[in-house]
Amino acid sequence: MKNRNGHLTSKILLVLFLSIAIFTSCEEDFLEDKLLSDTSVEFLYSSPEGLESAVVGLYTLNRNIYQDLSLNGTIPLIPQAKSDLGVGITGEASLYSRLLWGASLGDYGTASGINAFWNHFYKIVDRSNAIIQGAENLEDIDEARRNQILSEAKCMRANAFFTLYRLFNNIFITTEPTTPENAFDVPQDKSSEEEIFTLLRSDLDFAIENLEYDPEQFGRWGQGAARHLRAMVALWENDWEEAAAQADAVITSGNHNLTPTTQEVFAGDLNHSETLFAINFQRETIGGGSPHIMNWNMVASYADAPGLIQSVENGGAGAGFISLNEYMINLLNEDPNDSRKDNTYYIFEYVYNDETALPAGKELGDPLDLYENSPTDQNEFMLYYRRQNPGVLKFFDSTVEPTDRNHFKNIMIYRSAETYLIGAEAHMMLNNTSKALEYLNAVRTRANTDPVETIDLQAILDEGARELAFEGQRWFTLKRTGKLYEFLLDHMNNDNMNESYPEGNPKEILREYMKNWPIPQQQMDLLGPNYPQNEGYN
Amino acid sequence: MRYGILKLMVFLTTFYGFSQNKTITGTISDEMGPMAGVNIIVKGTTAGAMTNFDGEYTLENVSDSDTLVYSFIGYLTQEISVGDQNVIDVTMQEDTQTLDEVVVVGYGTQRKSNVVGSVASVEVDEATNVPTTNVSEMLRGRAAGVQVNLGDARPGGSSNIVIRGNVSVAPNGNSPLIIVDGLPFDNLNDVSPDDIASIEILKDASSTAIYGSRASNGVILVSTKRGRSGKAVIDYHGYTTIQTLTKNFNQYDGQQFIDLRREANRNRFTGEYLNDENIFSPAELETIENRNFIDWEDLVLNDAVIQSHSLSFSTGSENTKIFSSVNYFTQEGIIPNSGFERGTFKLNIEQRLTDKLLLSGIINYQNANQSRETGGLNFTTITPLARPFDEQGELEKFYLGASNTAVNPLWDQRESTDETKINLTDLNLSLSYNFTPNLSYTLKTFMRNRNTDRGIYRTSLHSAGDEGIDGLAVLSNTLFKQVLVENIVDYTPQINDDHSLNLTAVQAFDEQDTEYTQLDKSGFTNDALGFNGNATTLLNNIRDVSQRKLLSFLGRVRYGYLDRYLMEATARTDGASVFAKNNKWGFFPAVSVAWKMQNEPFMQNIEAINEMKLRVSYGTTGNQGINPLESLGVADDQPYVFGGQTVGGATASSRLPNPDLKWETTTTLNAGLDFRLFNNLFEGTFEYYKGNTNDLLLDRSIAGTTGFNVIRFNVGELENQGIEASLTSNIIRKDNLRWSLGLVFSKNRNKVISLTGDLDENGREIDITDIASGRRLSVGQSINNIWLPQYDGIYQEGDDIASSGNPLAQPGDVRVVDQDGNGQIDDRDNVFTNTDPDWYGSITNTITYKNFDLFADIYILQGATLLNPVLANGELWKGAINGIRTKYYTPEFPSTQYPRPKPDTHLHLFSFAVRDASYIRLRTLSLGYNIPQNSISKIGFQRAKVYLTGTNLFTSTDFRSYSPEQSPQNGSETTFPETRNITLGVKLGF
Repeated sequence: MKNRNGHLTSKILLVLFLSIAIFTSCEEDFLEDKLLSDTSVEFLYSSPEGLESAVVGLYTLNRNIYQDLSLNGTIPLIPQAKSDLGVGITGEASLYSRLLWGASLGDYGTASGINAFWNHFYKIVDRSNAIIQGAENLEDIDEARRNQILSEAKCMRANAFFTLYRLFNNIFITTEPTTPENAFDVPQDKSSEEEIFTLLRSDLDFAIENLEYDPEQFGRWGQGAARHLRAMVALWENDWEEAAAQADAVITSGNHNLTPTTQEVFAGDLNHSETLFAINFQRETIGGGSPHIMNWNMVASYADAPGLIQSVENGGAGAGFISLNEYMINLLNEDPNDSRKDNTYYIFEYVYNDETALPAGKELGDPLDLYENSPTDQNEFMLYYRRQNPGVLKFFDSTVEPTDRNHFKNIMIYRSAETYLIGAEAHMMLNNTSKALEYLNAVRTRANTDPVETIDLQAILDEGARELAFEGQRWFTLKRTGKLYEFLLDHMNNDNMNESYPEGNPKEILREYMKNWPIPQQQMDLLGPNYPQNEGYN
Repeated sequence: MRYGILKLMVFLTTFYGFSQNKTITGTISDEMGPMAGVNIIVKGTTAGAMTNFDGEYTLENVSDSDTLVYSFIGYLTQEISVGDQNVIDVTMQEDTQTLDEVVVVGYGTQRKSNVVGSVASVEVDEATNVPTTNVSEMLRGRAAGVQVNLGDARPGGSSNIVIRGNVSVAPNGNSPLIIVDGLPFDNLNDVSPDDIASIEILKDASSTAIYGSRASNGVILVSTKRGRSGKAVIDYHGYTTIQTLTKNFNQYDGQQFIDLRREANRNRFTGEYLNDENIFSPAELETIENRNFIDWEDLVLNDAVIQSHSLSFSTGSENTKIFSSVNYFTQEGIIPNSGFERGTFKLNIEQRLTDKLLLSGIINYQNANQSRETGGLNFTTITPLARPFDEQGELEKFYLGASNTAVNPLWDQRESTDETKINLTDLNLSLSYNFTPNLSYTLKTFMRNRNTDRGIYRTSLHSAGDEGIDGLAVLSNTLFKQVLVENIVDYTPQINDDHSLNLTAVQAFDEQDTEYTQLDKSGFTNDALGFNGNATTLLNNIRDVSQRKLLSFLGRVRYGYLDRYLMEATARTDGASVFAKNNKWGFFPAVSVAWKMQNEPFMQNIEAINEMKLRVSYGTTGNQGINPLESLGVADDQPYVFGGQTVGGATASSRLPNPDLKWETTTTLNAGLDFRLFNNLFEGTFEYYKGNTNDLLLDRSIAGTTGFNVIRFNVGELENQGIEASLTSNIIRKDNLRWSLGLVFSKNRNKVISLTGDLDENGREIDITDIASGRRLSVGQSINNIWLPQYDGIYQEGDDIASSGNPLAQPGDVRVVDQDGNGQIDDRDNVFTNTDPDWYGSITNTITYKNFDLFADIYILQGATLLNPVLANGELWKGAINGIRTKYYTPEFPSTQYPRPKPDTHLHLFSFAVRDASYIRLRTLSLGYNIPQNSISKIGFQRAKVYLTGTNLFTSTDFRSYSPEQSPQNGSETTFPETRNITLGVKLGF
């Protein structure tokens, strides 16, 4: 104690001398606000190392929306909830699927979840813009290194703008990074489709030219993913030739073959040939992110049924907020041999595994069949939906305790099965039926279903549903093909649920203009006074 | 001892005798004990003596006919005829008439009658009645214009003080500046209540401008006790407090909760109930069967004890004065595992080195431990249908049944440690040199080190540390260092009797450094060592270093003419590091005048008026309450994993820097009237003020299209306007019975005057949402508001629902006003509700009867609004969670006040949950007994007092919570409840 005080006293004396020194020297230095433990933004955009770390930052930003556990982790599942393949059972996810949320300007779901998409993707856009501008202006950098940085940032930007366009339609695009000086030059009008697609094409074409098929690290953008995205953009423009060419390139590259069986597609960390782009997680690791609870939202709460406890074989922890509807289940049941429902992509049967509570007449390993999806009896069908309805296993982390809803499973964004279906559609539109059938049947046979001999859009959409449901692309595909309103009217949720929702049947709430999401009012308030809201929302 | 306005003169005895030339001895004391240095002279002679350290004196050659004169500065002079006495003991009385109270003001002291600004003194004895270390709470209701908002009721928690309304929206923009013994403190609670000698609150610009930069929210000046000349005095104060839960709502009990759940799941169309199996889990069904319902509050909370001991020592000679104290305070929380323990040591020394040189030093050392319960503890909304214990009475981990992953909060509570250790060292040395009696120079240096060490451990059984994590520890350390140096020159030229002048000049610099380190670890080999054990995995590491500096120059002139007209002018210029490069400096001038009317010749004859002073001030103060680096571009660390391998990454943070950030300034006009009337029967102050804050440091949302959320901006103007009154009435002033009644009243209105000036399509100035606080600012509205659709009751059967704002609604749903009548409810239907109180105040009664004294303090706050998140929680109305019990709507018994439970989240519950939070509270009731001196002096005591105090005994409010100032829940956890306290204490003087 004595020593310490002595130390303090001497320190005070030192400070005294310093203070006298300071007053005679420059005050400006004394009052400088310094970055003592933070990285400066300037560093990020003014050196090759800074730019590379900013590129890594883009991947982290891109992951954020999946880790958002607000609203019971619903936000990353909003596009899925709004598709024609799911039934909203309970929880926030069901509020989106039954159009109580996210379908009008005033509701909370728009102000929260819909707004999150707007901010999330625009943030990626701005940081990509800053990296691209920084890399283009930097003089002292190896050309290959510059192109790698530019390519990854451009993929991120294209992916973000493309998503924003497909969700919100009336979007504003810019390649200028935001600065304090221009932050209040708010957009006055939406950008034209021509502007949007010109930028998407040029960004992706640049990336295709400069990226390798085999990226340096798993999880980064590679040429396959860039081509896949380019093909999707081309489909949106009805540019069938471009789409076909890009799909062909990915498929024939040899780098992105389908895995031999459906069992491998979502196994492990997804680091296999079929994956084009995946979000990476790692439990208890710096940079590994925080967990997502998507599996919990989409696997039934089967353990509430007698004789079942949470287990890996049954799909871990589930709350059953949203899951496959009858339409989707029937599509998968079309071919009894379809392997996708055998606990690979989807789980159709939860099995008894708790000897202590087995109901009479049941054996361990028998499928749970206590409940019936009655068309009218709410007492019956509620139990069925919550406990027994088939679930989705595409986000299931089999390494965590089965009681834990927090999962660190890598999330599949693009994979070559979708490239095959894009290729099938493009070749079909080009009247190249045999190629189209070849691609469609590649997906079918891999799933142990019989090949087909004729092809039409419905067949491709049906196969897309079976193969890709709940991966986030279905809603976009229907919107692009003009089928969204019709398919939703025909299939959304299930009718017994639709009729039991206290606020009314969502099929009666649904309008065609809902193919564009509302731009949240709080964003409209920050845009120019005449910035156009999407038609229908007022 | 400023409060002894009515101290009476006693002990005047007159005896006549005949003996000559005897020796008189005696002891002279005041209410604190023996007094050294008291002058005794024989009237009309030069013969005399002085008391020694024990207050004793001996005077020879005195005759019976002599009169002795006892005098001491600041005390009433007493004359006593000797008569036949040989021993004359005298109790000196403080002179409350001529000894004008001296109040502490910025950089100096001043006679109260000469104060020109708005300065309120707090009655320290009344304030320290509350058993807590939260000094802010002690100021509640003690001074007009000072609003105290409960921050955290936990042991060792704090409250927020707002002086004359919110002048700012900046994150640290509304805390008053705290000056303790002339030194800025970052935390008022670092002062031990028993060490406090006086508290002054500076409210207007003229009194605060001398503190320039951080002073726009007012200044709280605390002086601690100092040594005094005379015999050594030892004081002891100890008390014990029992804390019990206080709340004004009920939860659903087991059966009521079951009914709620059943009602919620009734089919809306057919009215049929669903089967229990559909709506209760198997475990819940079991509980319903055996009816073992759980009362969580009962299970979690315990009555808890506070103990405080404080021992102080004071002594002094002509050249040396010492005050030293040791305090020990320990408080258990009513939530087990929570508590606070603090030991403090203080030493105040003044040493006169030469005639001209005075050295003074203050040393504070504190050691505090705060422990907290496990995070997320909730006993408010948790279901009563749980099974926290198994048949053996052991805790069950999964208390809602095996299929539910929710973990028993009692289990987590058992498996959790959260300890914070705070070590504080203050060292303050000042050196004063008097060149002449009129001119002095003071060098003041101050150094503070606060080390805060926090360790959190969740064992391998805790829900956050189990399932392969094997124990989770978070270790954090905050090192706060502050250095302050001030050079002060004070000059008081002697002109003549008519003019008085005082000049002060100060140069100061202040530097504050904060270093924060955090490590998150997991994978402990065993739980035995807690967070001190060795871990195998590093989960996270944070290092955060920040610094703020302030460089200041200031000057003040005080001028008085004929003791009637007073004038004061202050100017200060501050440079603050947190602002942008070219905007560091701010200039803050202030001027004030006062007129002491009672000294005018024409007022001299008005007996009823003892004092009447009118004062007006006008000035500017500044606010630097933002965080460092907001004018610079900062990148966030954003690492990622590629194929399981960590790769470093970074992105620009969501805050866009503003390279033009500058000072926020508040200009205040203050007019006040101080008065004492009818021979001091009434005394009080009325005040009016208007403060306008310009260039608000606003955290403003920016368009999502920019990729940023927020930028700090200087924009707009805010106005606070209010009136204050404080009145003390000494109703009864008898020897044995005294009763004084105090009233404090404050009313403030806060209003946004202008914002960016951008207009919306209707030509109105656009509103701005302040991101950090979530406040929506709108011209003409208070900055403390709720912006939601307006609650309009509950839809009833037969209402015209189809043409209302919510055509899909059913009877029993929440109805809100569709302001624009477009048949849908959205942002455009939102209205502003001011959450600030209309007024607040207190009524205090002090009654002294013989040796008893009674103190009662009633605090009143009217017109405040709060949103109750428990009522707004849709899960409550689904019967999914417990919460505030209401007579909810059912088709059979339709309620017009509460909605119908239903299986989905109600719309507009937030509007419904906006509730009046006015209250009246009997805050303190204290009864004390002073044990007569003659019965204790034999055992060595000079003074002894015992007292019994009740705190928060009675509260009348409609706001359903544990405290009328706080929501029952904060996020998903229960807010730490306020308590009702009963205290038994003793004060002893040796």
